[in-house]
Amino acid sequence: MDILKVKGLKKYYNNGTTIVKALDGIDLSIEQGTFTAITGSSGSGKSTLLHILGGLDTPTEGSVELEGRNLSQMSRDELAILRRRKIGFVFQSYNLVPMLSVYENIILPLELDGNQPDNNFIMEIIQRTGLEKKINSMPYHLSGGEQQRVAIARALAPKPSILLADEPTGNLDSRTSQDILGLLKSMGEHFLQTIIMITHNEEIAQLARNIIRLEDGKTTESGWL
Amino acid sequence: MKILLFVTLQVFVFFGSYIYFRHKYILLIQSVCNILDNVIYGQNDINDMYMETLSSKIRSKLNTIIEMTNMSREQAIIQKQEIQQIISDISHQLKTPVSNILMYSSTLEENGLSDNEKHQFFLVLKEQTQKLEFLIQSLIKMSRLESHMLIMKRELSPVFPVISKAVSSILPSADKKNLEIEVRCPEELSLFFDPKWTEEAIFNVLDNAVKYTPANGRIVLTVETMQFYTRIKISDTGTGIQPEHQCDIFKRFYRESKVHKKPGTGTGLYITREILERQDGYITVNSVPDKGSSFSIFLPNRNIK
Repeated sequence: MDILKVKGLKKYYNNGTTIVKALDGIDLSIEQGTFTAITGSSGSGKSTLLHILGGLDTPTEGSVELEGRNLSQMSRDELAILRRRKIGFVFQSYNLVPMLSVYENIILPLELDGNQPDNNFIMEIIQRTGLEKKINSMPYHLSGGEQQRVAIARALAPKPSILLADEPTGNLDSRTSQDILGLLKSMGEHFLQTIIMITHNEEIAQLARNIIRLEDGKTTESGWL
Repeated sequence: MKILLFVTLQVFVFFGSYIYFRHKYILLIQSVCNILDNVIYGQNDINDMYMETLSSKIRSKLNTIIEMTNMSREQAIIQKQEIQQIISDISHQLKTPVSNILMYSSTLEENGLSDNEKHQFFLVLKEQTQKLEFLIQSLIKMSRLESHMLIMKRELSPVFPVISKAVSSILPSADKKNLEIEVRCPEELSLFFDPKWTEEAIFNVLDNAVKYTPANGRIVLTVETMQFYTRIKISDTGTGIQPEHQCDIFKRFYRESKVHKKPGTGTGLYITREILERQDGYITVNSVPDKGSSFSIFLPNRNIK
């Protein structure tokens, strides 16, 4: 069952004199509950692609369908709600709210949607990310790895249809990276969570079952493990 | 008089708001019923999913449920297809040795063969039977993994004996090629895992290392504990894996074209990965062609149900 379908996706930037083709005709489909890695060197269009998949950017041409709904036909307000309910984001910079505690950060997306947090579920996420002892800490007291774990917990809290991760371990050392990615993978499997992750690191990409390679805005290869 | 007026007004307000909220309530229930009808008849109307209303929220959540039920149904179909695939793979792989055995044994039935020829044919028969046994062994393991009959029995157990067992079963073949094996593992380390299957996983990686490392090479096994996972790293000075194939090696029946002459079915690393994933672990490889490969097996430090 394809949760995400991308057809003929193009993103061109016009910087006055030349046209930069960030994405040049991407077709892909992502099956529900799978872990996909998008790899490629810097400038291959990985981040642009992820931003468009998450409704943060609009394509020049082509379509993105999430659960059968075409993102480009949605209004700005609808897109904002869709991002809140259906998409979890994890970025390289952890983007935690500095004034809120770990727990408050994690339930923030639920509160934004006016939902009561399901406490059992939240506690399970907190346990799995090993943050039990940190729930009342403030983000600036945490290490980079811990902050990223909070960001992952926050992204999973609203039970999104799809979790998008942009170089989630880009700021972390290789040991912590392996740890965090193992967590991300095992949580994805446990919660049947669809995950799409961008990385330039081939070894990290091997954690995914489906690997898509980008080069100059085109997919060169995609394969199932 | 004033009191009477006040009471009448209150009664009006009361009934008025009662009727208003009842109407609202009925509208909401009706929209829920519509949504449920859509679900029952498989019509997925997704246009009202992203609005700031209660019914839109219900719509959105119901949609998640539909997606999840669809998913488990499709997974069942996929699993069925996988088993069919295995059956066809098994029959394909078994064909060659079986037909060889048949051919050579019927030749042996004929008279007029010299003792030397007979001896040669028996050797071929033995070799083909061994191949058959090897195939059957690895396919039995795999079919158990595939059909979900294999259950990992995870228990708190020391890591060192498991590694030492795996290493001692690989030693004979390593000695033949004069390979040096170095093991660095803290003896007191215990993890929550299935010792039997994990030993097999470690053995499979070691087996590959021995197979693809030229004589007089070196294999190093180190154990390192991180916060959530313990990493068992097995590095060799072997032929390495081309970057474009580094992900393929975990696929079922995958074998790099340059190693097609060496014995093997291409199932070892596939099984290894399955064993690890069933214990919440994982495996990665980092390899430089002609320099060597290093496989990392990750096992979780904690046991979360």
